Amino acid sequence: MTTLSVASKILRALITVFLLVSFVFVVLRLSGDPAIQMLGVDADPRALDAFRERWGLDRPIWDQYVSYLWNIFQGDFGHSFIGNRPATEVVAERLPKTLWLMGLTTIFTFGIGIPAGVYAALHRNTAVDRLTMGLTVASFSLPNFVVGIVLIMLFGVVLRVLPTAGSETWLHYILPVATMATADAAIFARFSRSAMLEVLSAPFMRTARAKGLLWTEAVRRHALPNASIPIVTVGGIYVGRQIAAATITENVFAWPGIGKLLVASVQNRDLAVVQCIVILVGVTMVVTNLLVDLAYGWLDPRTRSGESK
Amino acid sequence: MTKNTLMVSVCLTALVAGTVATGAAADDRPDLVVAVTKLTPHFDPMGANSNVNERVGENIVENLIRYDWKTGETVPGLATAWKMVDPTTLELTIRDGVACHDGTDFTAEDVEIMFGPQRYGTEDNQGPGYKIAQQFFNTIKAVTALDGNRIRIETYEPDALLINRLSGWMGQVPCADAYLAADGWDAWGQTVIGTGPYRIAENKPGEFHRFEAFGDYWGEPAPAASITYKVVPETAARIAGLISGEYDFITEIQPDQFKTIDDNPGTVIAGGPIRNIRIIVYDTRHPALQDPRVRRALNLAINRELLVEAVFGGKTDVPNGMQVPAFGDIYLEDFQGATYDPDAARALLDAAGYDGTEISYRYLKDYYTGEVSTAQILEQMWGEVGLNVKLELKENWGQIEEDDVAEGRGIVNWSSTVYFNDPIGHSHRIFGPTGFFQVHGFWDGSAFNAAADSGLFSTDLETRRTAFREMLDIFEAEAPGTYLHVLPMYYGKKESIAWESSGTGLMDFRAGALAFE
Repeated sequence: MTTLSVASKILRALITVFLLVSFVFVVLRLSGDPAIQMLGVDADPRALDAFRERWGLDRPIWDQYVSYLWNIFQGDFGHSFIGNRPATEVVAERLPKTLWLMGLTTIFTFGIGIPAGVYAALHRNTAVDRLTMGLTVASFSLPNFVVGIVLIMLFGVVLRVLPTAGSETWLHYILPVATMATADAAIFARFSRSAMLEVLSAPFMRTARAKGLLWTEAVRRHALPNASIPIVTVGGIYVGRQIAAATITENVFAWPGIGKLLVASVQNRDLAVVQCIVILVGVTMVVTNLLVDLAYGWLDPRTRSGESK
Repeated sequence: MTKNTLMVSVCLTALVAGTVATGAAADDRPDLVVAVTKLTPHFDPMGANSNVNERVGENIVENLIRYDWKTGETVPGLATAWKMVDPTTLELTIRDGVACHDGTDFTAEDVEIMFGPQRYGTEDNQGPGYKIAQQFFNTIKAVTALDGNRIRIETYEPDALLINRLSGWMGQVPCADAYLAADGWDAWGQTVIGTGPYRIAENKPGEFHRFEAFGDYWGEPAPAASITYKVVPETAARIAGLISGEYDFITEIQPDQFKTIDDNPGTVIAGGPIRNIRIIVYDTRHPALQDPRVRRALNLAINRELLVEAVFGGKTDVPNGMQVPAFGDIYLEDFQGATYDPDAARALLDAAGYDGTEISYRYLKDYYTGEVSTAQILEQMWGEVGLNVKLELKENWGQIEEDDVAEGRGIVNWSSTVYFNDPIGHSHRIFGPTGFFQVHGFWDGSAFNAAADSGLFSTDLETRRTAFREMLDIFEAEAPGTYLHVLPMYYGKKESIAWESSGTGLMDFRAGALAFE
């Protein structure tokens, strides 16, 4: 991958983030009034006007937009309407909780999903394969909020062995992680199985066996590396979207992370915080995709510019 | 689980149990956990005039004069005595020995500063809280500390409601030292120092805030060692947490969830009507709503008793006019109020020549308890008499309020909180000349305003009652909207906790309001 191609990817990434921020900026301002959200519907009209004036919301939207971009350029992402704290500080305070949730979910997702899919592929059309695939269909067919509430009812209400909201102890992690990892691991199991099946039927696998390699050796040296390319692609997108994907689960389990903050901030029209989170999610997506692109070069020599000639 | 991890778990459990036991020995009052959907963004009433702020208010900041919601009487609070020295001057004696949560003494000077331009002020010299609070205290001209424990409050004109204002929502007085030392209005709003039985111990905006019993409280000690208000947005999770015992109280319960909570051993529904009337408001500029006969037909088509029975299982009231009994002497018990008469509604529509023009009805998804069901039932009731009302579910208040009559705003959902127990703090506040609906052109309320000016601000009770009756009559005749029912606020709670609703948004956890079996 040349410097030019990396630079072009980074430029594309910046344009993506810029468009994302611009879109969110306009939509948030056109779809609700922060003054009413913060002061309440009963608020005196003069109090609402004073709030708008104080936060510059009475200025034309283009004027607000130009100021906003200029401030971002200077590293100022604005202040939350709640407590007048820097939006970056509000978001940074919540980020570790989401990263923990993301990290554990990713470990369980990859740790269960990928081996299960590979195992099913290696035992295609056996009872284990059918059972695994049956479970995966059931798992990813259920939306997260349904799985979450079922787990709450079972472990919180009926058995009363696990807490259902918050993040105070390690026990609080179990249900949210299980909720997110259930569907995600199922997706990776199915994807890994497909990728493996495709590779297992490829001519180079027959060649490898013909060369005298043991089946296990052929799988380890040829099948797994080749199957990993599409899995890494999906894995990159998966990790990138995890911050946003945690939104539903965080709200069901009152998990004090970015997802819950995002929902509350949208409801409150806490503009600076929403925009800060959107930029964070956008940048995460872009960076992980960039890393995936770079990883291709390492995993698949054919994609290395200048080396595939 | 291996032996090692089992041992670690056992040790940890023992450690936690030991810690809890130690804490319990130090203070055997329980720790309350209240699962809510939202937290207040500011703890000073003048910083956030909202039901989520009112919910916690008087547990941490107190009034000079307290309104006892159990008896409907005003009783000493931070002031022990008060008297009108002339028609526009009230003098109060501040209670001795009142400590603020930061250890400073609460004195008359705190009152002067908190009502002064640093926090509230006057029209000409406004503090940061003025815009929100002026509709409560716009009669106050000056607040002056006479000495350490006496305060003088002067009004522009004789104000029959001054005691009422001081004892109501927004009349809470925080301590001044911490305010003056704080890093700005918004930062202070996160850590308000008051004199109440609980003090703010920890606050994580959007996540939780925790109050703890204030040991130096001047009155009867707080019944709970601490109260944690925890944000749990999902209703199912709140109910599950109540049933599993994680939470002692949960808020924002809809009527269709009553059975789940009531059927579970150990949990019950609490709450009921509060001093707030659910209303709908008509934009009289809408082509179909310009004729008052059509608006009266809308009112006559509503069977309020049936609505209350269907949506709330009868667990709230239908008001007789835009008033509540808490108004006290000015409450017009004999006022007839709206009736249900579909035949009269049809006749009015015929007389008005209503041609079936579509009328939009904007509402939110259960911002008010039972809001969606109510909207659907109303649409059916109006349809029965020939009114063509189209439901429009909106995402937020901004969309409800959008000033686009040309695009069809007709009917909107609203509620009318009784800010203080008088029409001035209720119908006049909302439908009067500075209220939202006249300001935004929904209605030309000149007759209503004139009726109010004729005597509502008098100090003579009979003059006030006459003016108020006329206002209520005009409201019925001109029909800028109508009332549906008294707004209820329901909670789920542990059955073992003795607690009842204060009849306002306040969840009162002070001594006398909360007890444990």
